[in-house]
Amino acid sequence: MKEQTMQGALTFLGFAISVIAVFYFAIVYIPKVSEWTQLAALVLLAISFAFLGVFLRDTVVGRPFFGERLPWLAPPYVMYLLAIFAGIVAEIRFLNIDMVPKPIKILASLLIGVGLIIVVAIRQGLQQRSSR
Amino acid sequence: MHRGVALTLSIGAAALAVVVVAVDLQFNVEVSFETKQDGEWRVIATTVGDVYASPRFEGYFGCAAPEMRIVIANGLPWATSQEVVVRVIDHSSGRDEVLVQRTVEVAPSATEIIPFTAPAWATEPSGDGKDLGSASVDVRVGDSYFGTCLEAP
Repeated sequence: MKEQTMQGALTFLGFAISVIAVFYFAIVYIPKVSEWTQLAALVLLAISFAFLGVFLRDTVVGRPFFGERLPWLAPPYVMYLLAIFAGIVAEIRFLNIDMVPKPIKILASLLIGVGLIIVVAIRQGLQQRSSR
Repeated sequence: MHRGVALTLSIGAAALAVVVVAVDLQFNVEVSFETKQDGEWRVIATTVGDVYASPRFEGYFGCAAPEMRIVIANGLPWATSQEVVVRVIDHSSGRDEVLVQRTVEVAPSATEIIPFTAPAWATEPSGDGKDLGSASVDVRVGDSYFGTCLEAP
């Protein structure tokens, strides 16, 4: 085994243990709190994962765990996937809150969803212009 | 985006998530109904989450043994002491009869148990499937109040 692969494997193990700890926290404590707290915690976790991915992208730890063999299996992508997963679970939790009227749920979901797409599109457009 | 800003936002969001959950747990009081079956206590209905925000019970009185109890557990060790008022009201036969009415002060990380006898309709088999009766449960924790209804199958 190459030394680089060994380091990658250990880093992968570290990430796996950390992610398991977060899931354990979610399974043990999240069901015990109110639905609005659950929603807030999920949204904050999604934000945390996303920015952690941004931070790791340009660091040494951000390189793919197993080099060229699995280039897509890198810490930033794992964090982005976790952020997306947390966001989807938050949306499902929001739709299951009884006290919010159904039209408000649909309207709020559409506003957030379309808003996210528009924000990303505008940012991409600005970046392309500045790179020309 | 600068890496330092991203790291700060990431740690800040994670810390805020933990704080939000911890503050909610601080005020967590769990109330559950249990019935004795085959010598063992079995939970038939319980509050899901924080009684302030998601007050609901899931389950039925049906097929319960006469021997029942209400278990009130007060959150985590650092939670505050809570005054809990529990009332079980039997709505069968067209009139409301209070089966249980108790006020208990539940200390942090402590559990209070209120035993009571289930109404007769709750322990009889439903037979032809018709409803035998219903009982509602009112629980007040501090100034917050909620009620719910348990029905025989």
